[in-house]
Amino acid sequence: MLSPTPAARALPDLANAHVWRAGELGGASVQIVATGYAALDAVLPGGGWPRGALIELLQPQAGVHEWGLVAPALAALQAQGRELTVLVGAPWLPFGPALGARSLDMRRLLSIEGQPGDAPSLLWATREALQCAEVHSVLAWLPDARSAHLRRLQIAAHAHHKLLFVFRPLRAQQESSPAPLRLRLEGAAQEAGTLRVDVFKRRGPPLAAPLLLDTRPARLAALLAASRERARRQREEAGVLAPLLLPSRVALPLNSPQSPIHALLDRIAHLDHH
Amino acid sequence: MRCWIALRISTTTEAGQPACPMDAAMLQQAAASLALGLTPRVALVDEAVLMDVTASLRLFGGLARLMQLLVQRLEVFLGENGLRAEVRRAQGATSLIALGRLRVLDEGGAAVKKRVAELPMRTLTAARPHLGVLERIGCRTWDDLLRLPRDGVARRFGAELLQALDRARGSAPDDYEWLLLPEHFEEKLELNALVTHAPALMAGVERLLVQLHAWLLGRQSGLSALKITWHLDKRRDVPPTGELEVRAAQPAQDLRHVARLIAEHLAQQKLLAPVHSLTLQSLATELLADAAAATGSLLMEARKQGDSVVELVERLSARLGDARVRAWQPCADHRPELMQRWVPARGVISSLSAQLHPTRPGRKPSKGSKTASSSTPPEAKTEALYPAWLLPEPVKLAAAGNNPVYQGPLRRLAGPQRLEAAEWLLAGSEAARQQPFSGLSAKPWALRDYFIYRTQQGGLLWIYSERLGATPEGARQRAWYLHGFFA
Repeated sequence: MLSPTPAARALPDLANAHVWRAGELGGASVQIVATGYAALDAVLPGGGWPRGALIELLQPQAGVHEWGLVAPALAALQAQGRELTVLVGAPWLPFGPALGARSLDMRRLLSIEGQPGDAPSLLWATREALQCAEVHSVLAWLPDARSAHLRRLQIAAHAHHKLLFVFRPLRAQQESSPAPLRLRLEGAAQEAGTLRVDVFKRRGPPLAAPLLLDTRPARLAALLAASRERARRQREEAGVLAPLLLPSRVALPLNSPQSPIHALLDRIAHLDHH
Repeated sequence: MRCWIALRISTTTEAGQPACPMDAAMLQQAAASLALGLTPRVALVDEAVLMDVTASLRLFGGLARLMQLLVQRLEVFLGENGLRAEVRRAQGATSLIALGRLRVLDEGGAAVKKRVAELPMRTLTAARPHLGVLERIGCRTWDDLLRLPRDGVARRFGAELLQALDRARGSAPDDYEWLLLPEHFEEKLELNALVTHAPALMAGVERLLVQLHAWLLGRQSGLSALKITWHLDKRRDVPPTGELEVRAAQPAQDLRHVARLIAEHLAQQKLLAPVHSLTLQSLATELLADAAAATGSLLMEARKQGDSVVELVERLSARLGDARVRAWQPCADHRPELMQRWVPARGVISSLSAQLHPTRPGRKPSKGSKTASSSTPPEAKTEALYPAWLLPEPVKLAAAGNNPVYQGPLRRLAGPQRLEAAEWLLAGSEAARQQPFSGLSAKPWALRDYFIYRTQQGGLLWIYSERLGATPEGARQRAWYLHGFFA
């Protein structure tokens, strides 16, 4: 973004990993885990989720967008080692078959449930989980955490080199936070993607525009596309609209061998629900 | 030639430091327990611990190595329990020579290798009543006394002194009542002051745990369960004792984890009356063959960084309760709410640990046969069209016209996906009722059509409508339930 100033050109051998110019994206001095989304990797410092740092994810409602975003990285971590993933204060029960389809090993998941009005014990449990040698990642839903609490978590994650995601409500964006990486997640109903991700704090310049990621599993996306197509055809036959003017923009992922479209269409019972 | 070691631990208190929580006798007992890890011939004599290491020299690679190991274990033990103490040791061909040298060392004498003949008379316990007379007749060292005629010495000082000298010279058998550790640890502690607040009992418990630790090291075993009993003030109208049992999944020698568990449990206890004393009992121990090797290693890789999962689960369960720390288990069923179970992790801690350590040597045979005999867990089913979150109980939604409402109007994206469970039971329900299939008929029927709806915020919901039979009025007014979120 910035053109190199004369001073910067005079010091070309500052290509040290420990020197970070604020105008550039942060270096790869930290160990990272690929997010599974190339577009997101490109805008994160180091090219992935940093290990040993607090990653703060803000979303309007807990439990709406988490798994699509973090599941690929967790699955990659689980494939590397034989360690545990700990969920702290998850809003609902994680559903094994669906997460298994995102290639997560559910048997290596530990869930610590919250109780209303018991935020301190969730913070304690998060810190305990971070200190455990046989845990590689912690997902914590801490709507009531304050900056001082997060600082302690950040220190613990850094000391024990853990992947730590903390999910908080959108109002936390106005508060200061010790997290080196903060993201805002919002649902989107567009063809290009279903999740709008804005990286509003990172080691680097602010993000120009939010990213659109397609985080749904391929089979689910195909089912939704097929349903949409069917509804469009029905409308065409009924002659309600004149959709012939519009080209069909439904992209069916035909390349996935395990999800043939006809099988998906067969699943849908032919009920007239209109 | 025999080889004896005399050992003495003295507490050091510095200005500004709190006094050592253990008295000298307890410390001596702990040192003797530790010494039992190196040789079975250990005795507590006067102020010192005497150990006959003749038979252990080859096993541990010589006297120098053995001494090093002994001091290292003592230091690790003292360090782990936060004690400040000084270890003095001396070696000799008989127990009394070793003890005599230790006493010279204690008095500040530098000559550890002092010749036996030059050892002063006062280092011999049997000579202590006669020190004044011996001094006046010019007997200052052992050698001086040996030069005197035996029968005269026996008449003047009694036979004990001569016997002691013979023992010291090795011409009489050097035998003691060897120390034996009890099969079960049980120790009572009178508290310095009445305790009214349960967490404050921890200080007393820690003192007892130090002794328990030494006992475990001496017996080369690990602790898996213990019981703490506190004795309440008898003047109150309450039961005289209260007790607490703490169990660990893995036998451990290092009691720091157990101490943290006890602290968590004590924090939740309420004392009915002031407590004046505590008893600590070991309930279950297990022999640890390689524990000494495991804890003695100084290499960084060999030392674990952080806690294990077992410790984590136990500690979390102790504070939050078993029901709040859960692990996942698959079930073979077609109804989504019965496809999985989140069970308390403390109950399945061994299988959780087995997931992380697939080939743990040593324990494999017993465990493998057990899992093979019991039913193997059902294979986890995967299905991308299910939501990532499931509500524990379906939430009934309000309906607007033919569609449900959740935080505003919803838009139907896909469905219906029909789920019919126990339909065959429905057909033959009369027959099923007569047969003792109570388990099956007790299962609720599920006749549902699942739909995927989208909220205005962009989230996807998994909503089903109950098909209330096939009657036309049942079909007209559908009941809608929210069952999951796609995330």
